Amino acid sequence: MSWWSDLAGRRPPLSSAQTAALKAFVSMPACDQTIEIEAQRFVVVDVESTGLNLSTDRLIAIGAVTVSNGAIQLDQGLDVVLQQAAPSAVDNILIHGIDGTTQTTGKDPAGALLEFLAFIGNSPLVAYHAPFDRSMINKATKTYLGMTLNNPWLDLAFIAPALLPEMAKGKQGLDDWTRAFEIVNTNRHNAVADALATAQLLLVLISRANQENAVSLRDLIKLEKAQQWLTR
Amino acid sequence: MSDQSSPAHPVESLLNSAMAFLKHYPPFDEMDEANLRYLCGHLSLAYYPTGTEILTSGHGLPPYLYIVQRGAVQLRPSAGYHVSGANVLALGPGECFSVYALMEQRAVGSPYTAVADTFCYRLPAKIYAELLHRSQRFQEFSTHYLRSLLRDSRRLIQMHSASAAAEQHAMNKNLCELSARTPIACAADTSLEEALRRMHQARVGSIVVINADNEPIGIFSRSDVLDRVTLARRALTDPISIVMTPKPVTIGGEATAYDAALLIATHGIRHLPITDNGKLIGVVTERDLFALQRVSARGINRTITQAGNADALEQAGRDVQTFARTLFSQGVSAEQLTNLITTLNDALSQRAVVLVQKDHDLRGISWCWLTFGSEGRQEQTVSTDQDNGLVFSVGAGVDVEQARARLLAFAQAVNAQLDRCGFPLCLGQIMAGNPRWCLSLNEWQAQFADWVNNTNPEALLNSVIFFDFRALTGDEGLAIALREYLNQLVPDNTRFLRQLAQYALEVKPPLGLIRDFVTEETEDKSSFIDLKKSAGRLFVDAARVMALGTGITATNTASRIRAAGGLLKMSEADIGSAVDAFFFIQQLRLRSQLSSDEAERAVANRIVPETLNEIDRRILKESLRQARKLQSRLQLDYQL
Repeated sequence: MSWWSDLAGRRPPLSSAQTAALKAFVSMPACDQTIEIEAQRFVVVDVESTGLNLSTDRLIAIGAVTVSNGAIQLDQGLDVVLQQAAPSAVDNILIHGIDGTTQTTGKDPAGALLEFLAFIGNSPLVAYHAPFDRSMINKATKTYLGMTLNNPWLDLAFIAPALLPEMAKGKQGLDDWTRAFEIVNTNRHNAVADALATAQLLLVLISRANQENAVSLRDLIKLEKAQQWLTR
Repeated sequence: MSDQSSPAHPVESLLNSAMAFLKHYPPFDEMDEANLRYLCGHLSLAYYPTGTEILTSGHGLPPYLYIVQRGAVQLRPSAGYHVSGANVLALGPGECFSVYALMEQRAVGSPYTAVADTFCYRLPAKIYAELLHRSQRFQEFSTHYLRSLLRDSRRLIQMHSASAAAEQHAMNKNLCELSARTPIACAADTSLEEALRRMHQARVGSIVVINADNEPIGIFSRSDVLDRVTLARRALTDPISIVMTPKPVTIGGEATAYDAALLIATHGIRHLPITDNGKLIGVVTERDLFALQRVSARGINRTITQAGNADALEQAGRDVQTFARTLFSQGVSAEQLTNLITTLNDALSQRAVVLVQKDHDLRGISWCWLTFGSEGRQEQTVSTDQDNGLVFSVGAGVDVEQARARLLAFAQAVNAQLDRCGFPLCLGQIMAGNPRWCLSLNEWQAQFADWVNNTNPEALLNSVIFFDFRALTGDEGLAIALREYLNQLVPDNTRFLRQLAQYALEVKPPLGLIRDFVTEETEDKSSFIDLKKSAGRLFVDAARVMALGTGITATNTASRIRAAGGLLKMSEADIGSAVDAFFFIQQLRLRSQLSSDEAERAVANRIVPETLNEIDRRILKESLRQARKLQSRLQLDYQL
């Protein structure tokens, strides 16, 4: 059998359709990083979790928004809540607003994650402070699907100061940047709303990237690497 | 489980973010939930940094309807025309472009450019078309886009005097919102002492006298104290009812401050009780309104009515023009402005008649001063030639010719007086001082019958001018009798109506097949459109046929379209659009008249389309299309 069968014992088994969907995802070719940014489909993600500790906290929800043809496609988004054995602590609920009932009646985690995989396909993923989202998602896929994602990630926390150094001073979080561009987030700490705000920041950065001769995903990844080096 | 997940499915919270935004702006605020969801489910959100040309003619048919989410977008005037910055309108959050291009299935003329970092929602053209079918509100918005453009245009004018915006807003508020104070009122048997004390305590200038049903039956104001109480040596124990002004003029609470200003100017009063179903709910004062507008209508009216001689009246004539200019620069609409100008001009003419009459013996003659043409239609713009006449009847034993001679002397003096007040003598001699237009009721009736029955070009031209008559001052009964006579005469005479319709169709709207407008050329080869001759007239003439054909007594073009349009089963929306279109053209005329000086007056009705901003140019086009619509209606009705 294949590489996930040996883990099957520790996880609820996938249905045959789920197995097929997972297979389809992992066999997808990697995205072309050299095509023009405008032609690239980006999926901007934001996760909500039980807390900020990567080793002990769990993924609760994923919000995702698509940027393609240079615009946010409002008809293509994803909003999934993973079913939790028990709701997270009250002070945590107050942050993301996903109440206990929604948490415990959410989608079965494997199904929810497969839905997420079908949505992203081989698209590059974008987030602000991406390592956190990346870890949370990979931890969950590892637990429930026995695999991790190979999609490229872009972290706007590095791309933004790289493209807009003159504005970077004093800016730490997503809020600092969205405020500067008057991006309204009516529902902060809702995964989709945060992803939407992040996506708007991405649009601004893409337009800036064009002026800076960064024309492809590969250029953006290079920019990010350089910026990481700078701030190390 | 969610194996068959469909990623393309719209996500609730994404939809909500767009819906929450759009709900603040027309027409989305009035669309029903299902259609708004449908719309939001097809949006994309794009970013345009400052300077980006978002939509240009190069795009061909616009791929999207763009809705500004934040930032600002400007319509740049076509290349080659120098238009001052103020003439370029910026679209802000919630505003759409380009409805016109989408509706007409063509490329935009001038480019839409981001003038700030801008986010726009984009609705695919295909979905836009589908929404036109689904949502009536959306369709109305698109097809009657003229109306929303008119609002934009008005806003543009306001931008010229920035401080005026707040005033304008306030003047359009209804009175209920405006007067928060509880009115000071008392019963008819209240003693003078008590009434005056209450006025003093409340620091108000007037007290309204009400009956048991809270209906105003009288009003007493501070300025009445001197002559009615002090000088009349009234005892303070006398009831207020003895000194009050009975049956005061009142106004409904739903009326606007403009309406109140109009009434105050018309009646020369200071305090206006506000009623709701006849019950007193407030008082609006001259001062309340003064706070809202810089120049006072009543002030001018007072100058007019108290003018003791020709010089004073001449000054008042100039005041009217200044007033009109001020109001216009504040963005007051053409309808309200022409109403106000008409009111003040009427007062001016009435005063001129009164002043002159003192020196003339008109005993034994019953007469009515008539106005014709634009004055008769209450559509005067700033300065118009005199068009007036007299209708009279004489008592037993008075000779008609002798009466006419006396009236002519009087009328010629009035004509001269009006000339001094800013109403130039009529070149065509249509003036009361001309024996041809100083006629007895019988003579007028015979004259009207002659024009209607023996149509020849001259008779037709005369009927066009004279049938728009209106009583200005004197014995109104004579004018009413003449109107009734005409209304019996015309509707039965299809031959006459047909010729009148033919006349109305003589001038075609100057809309071009290739270029936007068909223009005329001046001596120095610059092209222009004559707004009076080839735009305003189209509406005026069509409305006249409609009114005379249906026996409507109104002479005012907008009133005629509204009243006759209803009888002719035109849709509400069509009537509204026609009236809006007419007012827009009047507004353009006013603008060009008010901005030109004495020497340019002859050409003040001319407008060079290229000097208009893009929005006004489109509205003009749309307005002319409305004229064409009215004309085709006439063509159909009279089989021409």
